[in-house]
Amino acid sequence: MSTILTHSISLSFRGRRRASIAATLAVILMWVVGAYFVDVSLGRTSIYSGVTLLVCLFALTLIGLRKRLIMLPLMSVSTWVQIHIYTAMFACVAYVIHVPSIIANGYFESVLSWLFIVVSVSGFYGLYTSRTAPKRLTALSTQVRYDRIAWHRDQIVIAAKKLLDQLPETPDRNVLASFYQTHVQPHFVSPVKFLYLMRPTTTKKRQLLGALADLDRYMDARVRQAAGKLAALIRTRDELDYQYAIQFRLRAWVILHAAMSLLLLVTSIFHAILVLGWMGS
Amino acid sequence: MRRDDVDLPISPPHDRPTARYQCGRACDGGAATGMCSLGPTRTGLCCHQSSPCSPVLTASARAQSLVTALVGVGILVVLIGFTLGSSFIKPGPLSTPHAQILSGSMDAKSCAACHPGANSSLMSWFMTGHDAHEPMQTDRCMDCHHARLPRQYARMAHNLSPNQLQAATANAQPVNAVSWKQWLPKPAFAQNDVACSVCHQEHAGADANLSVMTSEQCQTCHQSRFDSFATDHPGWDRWPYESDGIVEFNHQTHSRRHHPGTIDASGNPATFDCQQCHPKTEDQNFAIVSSYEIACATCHDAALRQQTSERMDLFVVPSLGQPDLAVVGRWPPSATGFFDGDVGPLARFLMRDDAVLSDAIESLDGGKLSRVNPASESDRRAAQEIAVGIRDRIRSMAQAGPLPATESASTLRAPLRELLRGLSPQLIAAATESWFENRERPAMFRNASALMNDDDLLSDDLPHDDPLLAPYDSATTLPATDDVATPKRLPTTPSRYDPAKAQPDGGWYIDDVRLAISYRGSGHSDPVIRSAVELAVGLPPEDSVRRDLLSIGPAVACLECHRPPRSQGNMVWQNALPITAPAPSFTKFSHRPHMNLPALADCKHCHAINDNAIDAETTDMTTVSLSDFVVPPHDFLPMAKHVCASCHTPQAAGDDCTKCHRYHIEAPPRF
Repeated sequence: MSTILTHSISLSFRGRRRASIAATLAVILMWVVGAYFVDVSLGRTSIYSGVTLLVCLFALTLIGLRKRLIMLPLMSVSTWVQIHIYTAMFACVAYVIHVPSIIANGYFESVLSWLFIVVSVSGFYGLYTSRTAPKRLTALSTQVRYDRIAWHRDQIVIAAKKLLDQLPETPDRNVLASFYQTHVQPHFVSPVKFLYLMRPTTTKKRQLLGALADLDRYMDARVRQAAGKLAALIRTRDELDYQYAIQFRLRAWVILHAAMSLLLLVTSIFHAILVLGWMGS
Repeated sequence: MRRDDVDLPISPPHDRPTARYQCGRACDGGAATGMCSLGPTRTGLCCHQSSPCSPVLTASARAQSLVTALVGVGILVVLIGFTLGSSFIKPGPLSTPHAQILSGSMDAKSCAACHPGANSSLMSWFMTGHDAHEPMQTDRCMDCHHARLPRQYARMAHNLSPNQLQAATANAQPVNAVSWKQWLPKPAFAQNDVACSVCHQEHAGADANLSVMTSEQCQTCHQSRFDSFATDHPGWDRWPYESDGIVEFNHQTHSRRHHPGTIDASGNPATFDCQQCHPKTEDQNFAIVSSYEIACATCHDAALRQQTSERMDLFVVPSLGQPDLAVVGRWPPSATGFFDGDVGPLARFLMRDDAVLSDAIESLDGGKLSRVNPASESDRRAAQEIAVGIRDRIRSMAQAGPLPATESASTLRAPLRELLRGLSPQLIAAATESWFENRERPAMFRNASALMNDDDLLSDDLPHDDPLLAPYDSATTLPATDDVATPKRLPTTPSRYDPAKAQPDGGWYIDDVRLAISYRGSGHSDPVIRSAVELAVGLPPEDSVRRDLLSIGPAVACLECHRPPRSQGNMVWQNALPITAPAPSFTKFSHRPHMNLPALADCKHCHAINDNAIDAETTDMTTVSLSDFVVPPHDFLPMAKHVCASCHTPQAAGDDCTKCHRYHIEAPPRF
C-alpha cells in the first residue's frame, strides 16, 4: 500500500524506500503495542501473534500465485515484491514475539522454527542477491539464458576444434594442438565445478591464458593468430561459466525459498489445527 | 597476445523460457543444426517424426518439479512424525512437577490428563459448540488440585465465592495515585471464568516457573492500578494490629519498664531480647512465642505459684438450720446452726443435670444460702434441696468415681475428666464418712492433745513459752474435784489440714473445717486449673458457671496472659505457628529470607515499639476514649511502607506483586 501511495506521489526510489520502511516500522510498533496490551490483559498473546504470523505467511506466498496469474490486473510484480519484502520483515518481528526463544521446544514445533528460519534467511539472501546478481550479469558482454548455456558450451568446443582443424600440420600447430588437448579441451568439456558455483573466480581463465601466452614464442604468425582466437574462446567460456554460476545461484535460491515457504505454510496450518484442538478452555 | 573474438552461432529461438520441455538435441554437438523447427510439444514429444529427439525439461520445469518433490517429501515426513504419537507434536517438555506425575511413555493418555482434545477425533475439532458434559481443561487441573482449591470456585477470581470477592473489594484500600496503567485494557476474560491456563502456561521446560506473573498482569483485573510499590501501593497501617496473638503481652511496658527495672544475677538490668521469646524455628522462621520457662518464668513464676495456690472448691457442705435437719437427716454438726455457704461454680456445673436442683440453686441467686430467709418456706425448701443434692453427689462420687455419668456424652467430658483425674474416690469416701457418718478420721489427720495446741485461735497469738501452752498438770494446779483436773477424754476437734505445708505442689484435699473438697494449684500450667478454664470456656458466654469459674483466683491468674475466646469454644493456650501472615489471606510473608541481612537481625528495625502507647497499668482507662486516637493504642508503631520499599525495589529485592501476595486463597480469608 505504501508502495502504491509512493508511486502516485512520484517519489524517488530512495524516497519510496524510506516511506515504506517508515510505514512498516509504524505498523510493527502498533502491532507490538497491541501484543503488549494482550499480554497485560492476560490474553492469549500466542494466539494474537500466531494468527498474525499465519496471515503473513498466506500473504507472502501469494506472490507466487501473482506470478502465475499474469493476466489479472493485480498490480505489477515489482509492487508485489515490495509488499512481499516488507511483509516478511513484519513477519519476522511477529515470529520473535510468537517464539521468543527463536527455536521452539518440541519436535514438530522445532521443525516449524527451523523452516521459518530457513525461509527468512533465504529471503534476506534473496533480497541481497536479487539486487547484486543482475548487475553482475549485465556487466558481461553477453547475456545468455540459463537453458541455453549448455548449447553455448558445445558451440565453444565445436569452434575450438574447427579452429585447430583449419591449421596445417606444422610443429607450431602441434604445439597449440598439444596445449589444447592437454589443458583447454578438458576444461571446455567439463561441467562447472561446485566450488566455482559457490565462489566464481577467474583463476582457471588466467591460468590458461597465461600458459597460452607463454607458448607465443613457439608459434609462427598464423598459429599465433589461431592461439588468439583460442584465447577468446577461453574468455567466452569463462563468461559462460560466470553466467551459469550467478544464474544457478538465483535459481537455487528460488527453489529453496519457494519449497521451504510452501512447506512452512502447510506445516503452519497443521500447527494451527493442533493448537485449536489442544488449546485449553 | 592478440585477442581475436570468435563468432559463435546464435542460439536457436525455438524454446521459450516458460516452456516445460526443450529440444533434446540442444546439447548434441554433432546435430547442432538438427534442431526441431517447432520444438517439443507441451506433452514432451518431439515434433520431428522422422528422427525424434528426447525432449528434456527446461530449467524452470525442473525447478517446479524439485519444489513439488521437496514439499511432498516434507509433508510426508511430517505425517510420518504424527504417526509416532503425541511425542512428536508435544510442544516442549513439561515442568518438573507435572513431568514427574505424568512420567512414563508420552502417549495420548498422558496428554489427556490435561488436554480434553486428546480424546476427541480430528473432525470434532472443527465442530462448533461445546458439549456441556465434556470437561474443560480447568476441570482437568482440578482433578489433581482439588485438595487445595475449592472445585466449585476454581474458575472464580482468587478462588473465592462471589460474596467473598465482593467483601474483599469493599475491604480493599483505595489507591490514591493516578498511573498511566489505568489506561491499560481490561482483562480478556470474565471474573467468573478465569481458567488455569490464563496464568499457568505449561510446556515451557523442566525448570520453567509456572507462576511467573508481571505486576501489570496481576493488576489487570483490579479497578485501581498503580505504578510502583514504593510510591503508590497502599500502606498497611493496620498491621500488626490485626495480629492474632494468643498470649497477652505488652511489649512497651516490658521493654521500657519491667525489664530495665529488673536486675539480673549479674547486677545488670535485664535485657529485652526479642528472640528470647520469639526464637528461631528449625526452618529459620520465628515462633510466635517461646516456652513459659524461658520467656516468663524468671519473673512470673513465683507470683503464679502464689496465685494458683488459692483454693478452688469442688463441693462445700452448706450450713443449715437445726430445724432443717429433720428433713435433711444426718448432717455435720459443724455445719448446723444457720443458713450459710455458697454453691461454687464447679458444684453448680456437676449438679445441673438435675432440674430440681438447678431450680433450687437459681432461686437462691446462684446457690447463695446466706440469702435464705428462714421465714420463707420456699427458701428453706430450696436450701434443703441443695444440701441434700450436695451430700448425694459427694456420696455418689465416693462410690462411682468423681466423673458423673451424665457427662459421658458431653463435649466437655474431656476437660472435666482432666479436672477430676487426680481426685481419688477414697479421699471423697473419707470425707463422706467423717462429715455425714460422724466417724473418726484416721489418726494421721487428728491431733490427740488438741485442746489448745492446735487451736488456731491461740497457736499464732501466744508465744511458745506461754504457760497456757504448757502441758497441763492438774495435780498441782486444780483441786481433785475439778472436772478439768480429772483427765477426761475430750472430744477431738477436727484438725485444720494445711495444704500449703502438706501439698506444696498442689493437689486435691479435704478441708474439715470448711467441710470442702478443694484443690490447690501448683503454679503455671497446672493441669486441673487449665481444665477448669477449658471447661468454663466451653460454656456459653452467658452461662453463670463460666463467669464464676473464670473469676476464681487461679483462673484469673491464667487469664491475665492467656486470652480466652469471647464466645463458646476451645481454649488455645499457645500459638505454635511461625510468625507469618495468617494463612488464608492475600498476603504472604516469611522472616526467613530477611534474617540474612545483618541490619534486619534487630527486630525493632521493622517492629518499632510505640513509646507513646497507652499504658493500661498506669493510666486511668476510664478517661481515655478511642476517638481521641488516630490509630488504636497498641504497643507497636504501625509498620511503615518505606521500611520495606527501601529494599524491595525492581533492582534489588524485587517489588512484584507475587513477592508478597497470593492469588490462590486456600481457605476463606478473614475480613
